[in-house]
Amino acid sequence: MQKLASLLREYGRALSAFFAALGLVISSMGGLPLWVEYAKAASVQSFKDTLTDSDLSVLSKHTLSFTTNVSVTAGQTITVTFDPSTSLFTPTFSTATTTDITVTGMTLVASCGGGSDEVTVTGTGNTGSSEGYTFTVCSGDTVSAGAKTIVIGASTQLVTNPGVAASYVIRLGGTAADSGDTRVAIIDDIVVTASVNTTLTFTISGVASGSTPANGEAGTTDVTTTATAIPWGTLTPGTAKKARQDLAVTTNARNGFTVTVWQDQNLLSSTGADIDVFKDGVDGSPAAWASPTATLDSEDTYGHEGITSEDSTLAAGDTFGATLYDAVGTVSSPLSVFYHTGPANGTTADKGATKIGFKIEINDLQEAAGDYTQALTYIATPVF
Amino acid sequence: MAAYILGTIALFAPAAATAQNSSGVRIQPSLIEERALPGETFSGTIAITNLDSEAKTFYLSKRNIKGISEEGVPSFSAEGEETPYDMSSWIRLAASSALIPGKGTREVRFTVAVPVGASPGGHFAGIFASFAPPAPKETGIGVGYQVGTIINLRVVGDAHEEAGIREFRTDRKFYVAPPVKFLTRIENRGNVLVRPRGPLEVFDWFGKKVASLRVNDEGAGVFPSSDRSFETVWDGEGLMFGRYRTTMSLVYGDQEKNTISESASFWIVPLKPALWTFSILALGVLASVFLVRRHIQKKLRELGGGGALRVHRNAKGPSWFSLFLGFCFAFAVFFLAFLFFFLA
Repeated sequence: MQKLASLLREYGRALSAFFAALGLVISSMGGLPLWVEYAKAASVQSFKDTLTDSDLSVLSKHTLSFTTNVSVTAGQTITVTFDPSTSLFTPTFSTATTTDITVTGMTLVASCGGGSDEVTVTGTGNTGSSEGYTFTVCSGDTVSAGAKTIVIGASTQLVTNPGVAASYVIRLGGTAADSGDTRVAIIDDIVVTASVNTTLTFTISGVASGSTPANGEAGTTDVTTTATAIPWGTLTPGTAKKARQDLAVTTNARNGFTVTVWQDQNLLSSTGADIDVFKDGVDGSPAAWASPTATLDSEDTYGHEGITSEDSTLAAGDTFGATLYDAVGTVSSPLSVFYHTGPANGTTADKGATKIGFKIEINDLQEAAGDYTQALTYIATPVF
Repeated sequence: MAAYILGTIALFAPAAATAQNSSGVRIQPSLIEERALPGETFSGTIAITNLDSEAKTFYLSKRNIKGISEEGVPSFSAEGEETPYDMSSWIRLAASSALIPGKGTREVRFTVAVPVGASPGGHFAGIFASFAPPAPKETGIGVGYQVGTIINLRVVGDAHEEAGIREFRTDRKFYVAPPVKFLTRIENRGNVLVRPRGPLEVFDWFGKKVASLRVNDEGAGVFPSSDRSFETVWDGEGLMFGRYRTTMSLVYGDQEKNTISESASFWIVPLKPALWTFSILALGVLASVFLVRRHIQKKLRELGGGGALRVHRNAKGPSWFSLFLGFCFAFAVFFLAFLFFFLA
């Protein structure tokens, strides 16, 4: 028994050593190397760099704004370093260009004089490392804490952007107590299609009876629709009727298009009776088809009409799922039935073409009338 | 008692024996983006093409855009409804309707007169070519359509252009394998439309960049005082293991390019291969200990003349080193369990 216990202890130590090593590996995976980042005791606040042009390989003016917490005393420096890790910016500097560098919150001078918060500036040029500019506080002067701006390229731009699209660090440092990093995104400009060239084409097609209904509905369509009419004809209590229209959109709008639909009223007869929206007159979330509940004295439950869409990539996702129906929207809140986030060709499902299904059902309580009518309007526009 | 609703289907039956027919319209341009000074007037034309074979009358109207959803879908105000970004009242259409022959095109001129006192910033509206639904005479639905050109007008002046990152995260913290989905939500705090876009970079636990993606590369717009969500997917490649850090920087702005940045992190631990690997390694360690111990005991027996080997243990209890090993062991086990059960 002692020998067994001894054996278990030894194997336990071996496994512990193994998992200890594993634990150390996992800890380092936790980004231990990444946690050792540039940091000093005091950080500048609200540090940002605004460019005039963020395109690749172009000259741009940089306006750096920040707020320091600690004064900068005589002889101390404030440095601005562009991309400290890879130095892909191309800054230029010469004494003749100091007028192209302006500051607020301190006084930039060519040589120190009688002021109290004067700084001079030197630049490293395109040296391949620590590229940027150094502001040195003149002897006997102090730059007080507070909001500052440094504009590099105030008239003639001095810094060329990198040629690789990425996010780059702009570092504030030097021997001053305050420091900090901010980032600028350098990215190729969008090629803008001239406004006159953007087009949007919207088409509705009717579908014959006996066709496949939309969005996985069983059976076949019961009425022949046209582009501008859905004729329900005679409705039999307890028997739902289905119809379909097909939509197509062609556009070169970069961000795509949206199609919504709204009705001016419920199906309404001249007697004042109506057939309500699905389901039972309540406009809720899309749901599986159900017959109107026929609750006596509750007119909303005598009949209802719903809509579905086959587009599974609406703005809110696959809203209509597997044969789910919803109420048609109103003018103030139209229902989204077709949506795409890029150019469309008018034929590809979910991107340029879709099928819209309609379904209606009444029960014995629905008032008899021969003229239940309504107007339905599709709205098609590009997306911003 | 059965209730029958009678309808005259013939009124809605197609005139010809064709089972389907189509109706549609093309509008060009469908998107107008302009800048104007207060008091300035500019004009343009919209070309409307009737895609039907017979002539149709299209009605022209204008409506303000009162907002757009997080997915960029514009919502239009009712006629006469005021919005902070009003501009429909500035638009004059040369015609209120256009009778366009089948397959024909008609150009309609419009003029936008920006008031002298117009507020600087973004103003949005739509110009619509509408086909009115025919009025059904019997039971049924009359179907019409409105196809619109949307206008983004920036009135020059002291416009406020500011965007912020309301949210940036992955859809999970722990993955067994890609794809990794990045979710970004941008807030427009200004009064003009902004189009933030930029790089999303992924770094492994060595700090090496392993992916460079783009967020909103198409430049979709974020409406003033609104949010818009973007989704970016990284499918990954090769062997992926450990903690990953990601940095997203988006640039926006018209004359001034501002950058907004945010970081996030996530783990990828391919559990099945990891468990197999660790199990094999653990067995290997145990086997090594067993074999080494056996070898040592054999040598000691040879040296000791074959007598029994007695091992004296220090009776003071576990050493600090043992406790440290035990802690690391427990940490590794619980950490893996936490990742798997709570973050997967």
